[in-house]
Amino acid sequence: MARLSAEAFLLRAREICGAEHVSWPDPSAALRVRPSTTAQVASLVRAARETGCRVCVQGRDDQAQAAPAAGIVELELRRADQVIALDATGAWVSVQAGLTPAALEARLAHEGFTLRCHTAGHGHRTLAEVLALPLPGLHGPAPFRRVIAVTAVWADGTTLRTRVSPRQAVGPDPRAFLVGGHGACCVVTEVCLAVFPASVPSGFETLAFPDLSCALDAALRLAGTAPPLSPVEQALAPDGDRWLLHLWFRGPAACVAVGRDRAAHGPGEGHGEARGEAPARAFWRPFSAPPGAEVPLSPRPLSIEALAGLELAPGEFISGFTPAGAVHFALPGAPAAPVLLGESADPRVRALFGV
Amino acid sequence: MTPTRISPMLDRELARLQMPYDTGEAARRAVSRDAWAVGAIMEYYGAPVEPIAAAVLRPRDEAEVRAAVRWAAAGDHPLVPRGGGTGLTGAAWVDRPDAVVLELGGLTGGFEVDERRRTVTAGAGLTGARLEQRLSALGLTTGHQPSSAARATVGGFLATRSSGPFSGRVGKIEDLVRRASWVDGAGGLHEDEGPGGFLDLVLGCEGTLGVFTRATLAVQPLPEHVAMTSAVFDSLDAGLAAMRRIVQEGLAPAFLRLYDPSAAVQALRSPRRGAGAGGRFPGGLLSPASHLGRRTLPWVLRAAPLLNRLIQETLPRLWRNRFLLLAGAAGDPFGAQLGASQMSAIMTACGGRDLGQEPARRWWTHRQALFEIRPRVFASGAFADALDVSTTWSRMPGLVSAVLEELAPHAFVMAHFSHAWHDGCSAHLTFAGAGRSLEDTLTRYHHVWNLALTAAARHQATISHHHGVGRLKRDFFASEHGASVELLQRLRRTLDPAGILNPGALWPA
Repeated sequence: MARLSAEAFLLRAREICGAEHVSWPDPSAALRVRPSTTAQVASLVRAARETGCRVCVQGRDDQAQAAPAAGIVELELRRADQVIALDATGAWVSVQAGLTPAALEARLAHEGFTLRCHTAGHGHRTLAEVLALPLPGLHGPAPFRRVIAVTAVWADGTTLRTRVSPRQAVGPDPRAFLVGGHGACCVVTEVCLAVFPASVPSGFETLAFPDLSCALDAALRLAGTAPPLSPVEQALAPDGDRWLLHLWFRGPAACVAVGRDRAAHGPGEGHGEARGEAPARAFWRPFSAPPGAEVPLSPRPLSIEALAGLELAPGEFISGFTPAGAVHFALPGAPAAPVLLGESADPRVRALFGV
Repeated sequence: MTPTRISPMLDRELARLQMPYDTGEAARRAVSRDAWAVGAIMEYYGAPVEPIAAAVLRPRDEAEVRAAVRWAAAGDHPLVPRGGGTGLTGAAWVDRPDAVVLELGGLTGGFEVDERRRTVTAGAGLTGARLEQRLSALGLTTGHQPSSAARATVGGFLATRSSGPFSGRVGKIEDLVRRASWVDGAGGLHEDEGPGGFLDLVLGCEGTLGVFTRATLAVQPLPEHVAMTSAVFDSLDAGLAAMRRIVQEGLAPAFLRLYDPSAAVQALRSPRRGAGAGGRFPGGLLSPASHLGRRTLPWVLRAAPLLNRLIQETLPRLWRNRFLLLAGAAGDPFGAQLGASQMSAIMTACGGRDLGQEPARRWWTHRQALFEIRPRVFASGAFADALDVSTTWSRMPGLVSAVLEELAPHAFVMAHFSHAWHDGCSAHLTFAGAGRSLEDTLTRYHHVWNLALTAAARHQATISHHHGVGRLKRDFFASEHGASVELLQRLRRTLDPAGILNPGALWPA
């Protein structure tokens, strides 16, 4: 039955995307389709529903994903990699979500902008996948929301397009929900993202601590510092017998200088030993690894209490500090089962699909 | 129309719920309207408030909210959730005689501060002012202080995606909420974490998807100091460029507000002067607080095109400064001063003339008093309201000129810009007009709104930045959401299968 469904879908997929972008080398494996536009994704999702095929988005999960079973349609978005528009005044870029952050960063550099984020090894995955994860810099402090607009194909094949606007009070705002639900509720096909003028100064500082407890205290204290003197990002990583807190400041040069100075030498206890800017600059350097050389880390939000007893392996780090906790970026564990479109774990979301 | 007589059966059913309720006419009348201008216009002309609610239920806790919703769903009674009744768009507005108002002001329990996690948990019925008062005693604040906070409630903030003047520092309410409890249309209790996720689908629902009962919000220490600065610009574009650079360069102003020449006059008037002879600024002649103003305001506003032209041409000559930008930075004294000086440097680099801190400080001191003008306008027989739209920085000048052009023949208009974000800001267009009768006034009022919202939609601006939709803007809901409307309608049918939650608000009936 599954094979019949897949064969029926195969014919439809070839019509929609072209035969060269549909592969099914082995009937015991998943059927892989590589659409390049939102319209193609919508047609494929509808075709899958009509033929009874289940759909997963390739590489959706942060952990290494187990291979999908036979009869499952795997959507791969990497052909959807166009920059649609760049608004230099509004500091936003509209792109297809199959573009990788690394490729987008390279294109933005030509225009004098930067994404300003650390992708924790996900720099060569698609933006749709990366945006669904809590990654340092992508989901910043309260007044700042990175995603300005989203185009997504809902699990029933409907295309949803939100307006390009900074904020609204016109009922539900589906932007964050759609981006976080990429792969489970919908397929995000285009995003409009805030970008940053590269000309705005950045400043770095690394502080060394003898133990995790002191380092966490310092990180949580800095997370509560009033802007613009607070670091935009912090990351805590083990280094031999020390813990290094890598701080990244951004803003007018005077604010950056004062922020660095206060972090290293300000009043109060537990400031750590200042190691200068080089280690932090190296840590926060975006996309330094070539494709394939990165190890994608799994983000795990943890409370303050859970952080205190944490043990980190080399290569892991803690970032995204708030007064309530932080995110542990851990080396991947066992491969996770693929997440299937429209099969959300939340019963309320499943009800929206009529399940 | 006479108010609906309460049936003995309804009375018995309400009594069985074992929670406070009221079926007295005065109580029902008092909760059947919010602060939408239509109510004040009708009141001025002595038009009766009809229809009024069939009853008022006053739950005291989450369990009673669930019981009330289950009762309403079982008996198909429309429920209109109500917080402080401060909404400007008719979200808490009874338009069916069988509607029952769910007054949530009694949900004030459960106040709890977690100083380590920097959060406060509060019942949905607690007013913003009371919340801030209790936090202030602990040296904390949410930073969320909209002008309606004296009566507006925590639940109302969530239900309308509200925003306060300090949004540049703390964000809108959806940025502050860490967890919220809400009751769906079948009486089911949900608890969701934010920001983001499913909670973002329920925030701003104006009581149509669920009723908020409790929220956990982020708090921060009260700032030790607020340093301020001001500048004037010769053009709107220059002022907007300064605002944009301030936020895009990583500064997080406590407030940042740009006023057009007419709005600048209003913003800088002290209420004491306004309460007297109308102040020394030209706008004072129109002050609805003065006797002359009250008598002449409707006359003057009926000649809105002439008035708009007169002000545009004479104001710059009388008052050399034109577009006024006020900014403040909060924090420790040195940090706040550093932030303000950096903002001042950006203003100067964008062509602004430095005015020092005095204009900003004057706004800061009297910022709440400005909202006392509105009822006085209605008391004169005129109307006043505000369109809050937002769009990206590059679309903003075109949007504003289009809306002003549409409205200028029909109402006196002034604009200010606040809530500056990385990618855009909100424009607050205040308009005032007057008719010759109730019908004429309402026709003019709705015509002005229709023109303004059509222009906003045409320029792809969002039709509401923080005032919500209610019944006023519901016909433009679909133009805002496009194809997402189907998903949102499905969401509504899932969460409120009986369709009892605030029917008529937010979505077209």
